[in-house]
Amino acid sequence: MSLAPGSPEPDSLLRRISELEAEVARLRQGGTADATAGVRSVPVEHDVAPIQEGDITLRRLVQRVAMILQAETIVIMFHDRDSGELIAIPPAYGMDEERLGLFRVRATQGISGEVFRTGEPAVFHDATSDARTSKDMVSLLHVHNGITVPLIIEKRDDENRVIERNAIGVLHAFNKRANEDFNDEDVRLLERMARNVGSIIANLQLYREVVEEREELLQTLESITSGLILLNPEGKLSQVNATARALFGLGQDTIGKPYRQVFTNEEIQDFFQAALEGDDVGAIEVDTAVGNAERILSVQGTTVRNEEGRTLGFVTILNDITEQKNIDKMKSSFVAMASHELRTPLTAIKGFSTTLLDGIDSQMFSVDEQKEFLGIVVHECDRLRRLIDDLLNTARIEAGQSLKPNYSNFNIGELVDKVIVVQNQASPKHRVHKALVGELPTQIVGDEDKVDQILTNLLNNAIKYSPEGGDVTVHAEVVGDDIVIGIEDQGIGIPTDHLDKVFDRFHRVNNEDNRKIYGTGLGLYLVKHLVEDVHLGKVWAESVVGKGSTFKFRIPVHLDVEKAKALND
Amino acid sequence: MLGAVVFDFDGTIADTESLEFATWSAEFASRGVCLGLADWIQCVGGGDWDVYDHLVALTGPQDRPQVLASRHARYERDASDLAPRPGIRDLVQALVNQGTRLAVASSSTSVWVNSHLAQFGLAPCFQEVVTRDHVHHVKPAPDLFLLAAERLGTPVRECVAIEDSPKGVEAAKAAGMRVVAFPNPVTAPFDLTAADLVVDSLSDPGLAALLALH
Repeated sequence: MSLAPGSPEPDSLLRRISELEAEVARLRQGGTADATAGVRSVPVEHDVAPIQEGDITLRRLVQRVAMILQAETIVIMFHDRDSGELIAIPPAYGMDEERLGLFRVRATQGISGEVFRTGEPAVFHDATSDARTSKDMVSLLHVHNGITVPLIIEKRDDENRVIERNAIGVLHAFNKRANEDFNDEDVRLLERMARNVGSIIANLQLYREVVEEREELLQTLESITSGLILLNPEGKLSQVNATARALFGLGQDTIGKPYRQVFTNEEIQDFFQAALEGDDVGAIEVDTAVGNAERILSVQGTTVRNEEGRTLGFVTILNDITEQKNIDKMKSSFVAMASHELRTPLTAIKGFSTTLLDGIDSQMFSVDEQKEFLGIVVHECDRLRRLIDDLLNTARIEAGQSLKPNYSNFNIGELVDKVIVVQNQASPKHRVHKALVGELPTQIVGDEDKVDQILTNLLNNAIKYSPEGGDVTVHAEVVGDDIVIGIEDQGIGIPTDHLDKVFDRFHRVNNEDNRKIYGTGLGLYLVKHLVEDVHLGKVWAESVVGKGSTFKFRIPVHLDVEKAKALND
Repeated sequence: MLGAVVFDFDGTIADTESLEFATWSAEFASRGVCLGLADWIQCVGGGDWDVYDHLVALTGPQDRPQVLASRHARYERDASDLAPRPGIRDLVQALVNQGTRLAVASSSTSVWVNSHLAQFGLAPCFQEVVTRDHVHHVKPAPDLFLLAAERLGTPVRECVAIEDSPKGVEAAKAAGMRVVAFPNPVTAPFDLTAADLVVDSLSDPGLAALLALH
């Protein structure tokens, strides 16, 4: 089973959740008898109150302590490991919440600290003069005399032997009523009752921890990037996380419903059915439609069992692999395209060179014919070199390397003219011409070679995607600080939903119109890099299917070379 | 006794053979294969060898209309530069001047031959043009030469044929004519010894003697 990196294994999480659910249920019922059996060691005490009444029981207990000891104030202090403090916690007797909130000392200070550290009870008769007391607290709480005993949790094994003792805090009784003082009998009584207080607190604490852990795990499952569905053995949904709900367009109200009622996709239904019947379902791919969007999901599942092998349910992990599939598709079509693009020039080079070779002895071909044939060989070699350059440049960009810009001042008008002449020679069916708005600057700052590549690439495309020929117009004007160049053709055009994507690597529009027009899908990807990364510009396309396309780019007239160099370093 | 001269057209009057070969070679080459001269010669001067079938045999299936259109376009582009082979114009003029009757016997079509003769300004020089449109069997069968002689009203033994290819030579010999072979670059490598005379140039003194030219 695979998940997004960093996600925990979901079946082990689910096992843990299931254990926690059981424990929560048990704690709610107050039963601890089987708590130590295999799941986790739990403090076992004799006088354990049911948890839902834990708070009330503790409050009553505190009242009883106060009554029995004839103490004005009873305070429980809990040791907080993180802060290293002993902190007064409710319920208290004879102290308001405000003062209770202020009652905290370091575990090294005062009577509280001493009792917590030594595990021995302490009694003090004159708080003000007793050297052990924390005077701040004495005056804050108006303490005259008191007893402090440790709160101890004992862990016992199956034969009721103490295997661990932990101090979790202290219990205070302050100010004996009727101006009397505490005696040794009071200390013994308080010690005994502290055991009950300790065990109730421990249980409450455990309950909170279990609930928190369960919440945390549920939250983890909720937030993992894979979809997750948990079925109970009866085929009802016990968990559908946020990703899964989004993948199927479901609301929050799915828990407890039979899967057939929630999932209408037949493949998913069959998958769940097979899984619940105990078949090894492994992984499948499912096509779904959420709204108008068709997605491909990878669906994997496994049965979740507890340590005794009992089936807890069936967990299903869903991943949206639509993009991955698209990339796979694009890659295979790229490989086909690249092979074709490599093969076509090679075929011609081989054919014309062997034909020339064959004709040398008998002087079969006139000088003009030989020139033509050799010209084709040279042209096809250039085409091969361009293709390989494109592939290498794409690999460089992919690897995060720059195309090593070489910035200088150059004459953009002359460059445009030069490129137009070359393209006019290349295709007799097309008329490439220039349309300027206003004057162009004589000098701009940029990488001349790369701007040549941009123009050549866009003009090549304009010609390639206008199989019927026609005008190709190079528009150029200065707008603000930028020069904007547009290459307009009268070709087949680009469907609106592809206008943004044509700049993606390997992206090609596949339709009837351009089936016979070959290309690798790398040209515009490189153009985008050369315009936007190398020249800090912007490239975009406008098009009407059947009428033609205009590819426009804007680059600064005065490129900030330092900034550009830093970005392309 | 010289009664008439019967010229082959393709490869003899004009080097359409070389142009045909060059344009087909380019079609083959653009598909990665080479059109061998030994193969090509099978269709020079007639016969049922098909160059397109040969291309498909080498490359696998092709888009036939596309191949033919591309080849034709290339031929049309280069054919405007086509001219009579060196010496043809002078020879024809000399024969016309001395009153020798002239004909063309070609395995190609009448349209093809007549249009080229007109383009070269040679059409008025020939009394008869017989082509595949007029006979059941083209070269190497003798039919074309026999028909030419008949139409010219000249006995075949008084006719001289001028040919460039082995098949043409074979056809003329079969008709009973004397034959002069005047090979072009395409047909030069082949055995033309069946001819009565093989010349590299039309100013060859042997040819002048044969044609009783002064």
